[in-house]
Amino acid sequence: MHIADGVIPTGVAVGCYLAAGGCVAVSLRKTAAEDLPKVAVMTSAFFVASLIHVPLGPTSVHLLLPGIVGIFLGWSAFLAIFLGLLLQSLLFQFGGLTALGANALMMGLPAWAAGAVYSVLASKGGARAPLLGGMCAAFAVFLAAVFLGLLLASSGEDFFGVAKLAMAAHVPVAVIEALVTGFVVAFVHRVKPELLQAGVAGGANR
Amino acid sequence: MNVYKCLLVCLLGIFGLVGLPSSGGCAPPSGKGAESRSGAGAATVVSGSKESSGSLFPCHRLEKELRAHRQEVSRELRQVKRELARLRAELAEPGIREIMAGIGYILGLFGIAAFVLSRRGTR
Repeated sequence: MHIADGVIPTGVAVGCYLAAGGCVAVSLRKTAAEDLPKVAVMTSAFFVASLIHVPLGPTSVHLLLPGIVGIFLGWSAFLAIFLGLLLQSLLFQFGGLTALGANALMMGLPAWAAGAVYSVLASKGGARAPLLGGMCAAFAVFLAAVFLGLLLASSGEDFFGVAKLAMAAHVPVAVIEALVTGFVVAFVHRVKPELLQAGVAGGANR
Repeated sequence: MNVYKCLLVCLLGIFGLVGLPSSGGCAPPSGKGAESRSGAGAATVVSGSKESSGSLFPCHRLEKELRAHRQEVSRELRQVKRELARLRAELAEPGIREIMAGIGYILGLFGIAAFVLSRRGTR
């Protein structure tokens, strides 16, 4: 799910760049120095994840991982995603440099949302961590599809059509991602639970 | 009488076979050229050379062989083109080198950030 060069109008692209720049600034400000290695590792994971294609019927889908990045990094997630997308567009020609702002917003905001939802619900201790993580990941993928629809609506596409199509196309991605995130969260929860607690809530306290 | 006729025809045939490369040698290539330029013209050229050499068999065979050869070449060319397209598609998608470069960039950038922050922290 990348927006290519020249799809969205220039004004929207510039606006997205400004918004993304603001989000990156916020993200940078909220990132603690001791969290940098963790952010680096999650950025690398996000960067590589889009290359892992899962064959599915006639087409193939790839992981997006905004959910897991948000859950692990909290506020720093936007920075990680922005950097990952930047390098993807430079090295792989995924998306484009002019659409980078839009792409960053499309993936970064769902990551923040997933992180916030996860940290709020996990602090309440209602559901089990892996289940919660999986649900957050699926939620993030669908939210990204909604953002894609919104951004493409600015170029004259009809919003509900695109959003519906994007969501339908990403149902398998969401399922796979929920499973992957569930497993990862379960593992980390057992091995190193403090990694998960430094989410949005933890970042906001600093 | 019939035997003589047969012998004559055979001799003519042999002469035709032997004589073709030396005297009528240019006929098949020109025929091939015409054939490659226009398929319709090929038949008339071939029939003309048949009359001049006096034997029907070798030119026919040559034409057949040429046609088969051309088919074979075009088939191989198609294969090569297909291979080329596949290779181009393969080259377009990122390889292990780009992935490693990206990971290196990320770790390097964060390493620099951590370094700067640590210096600022100690001062």
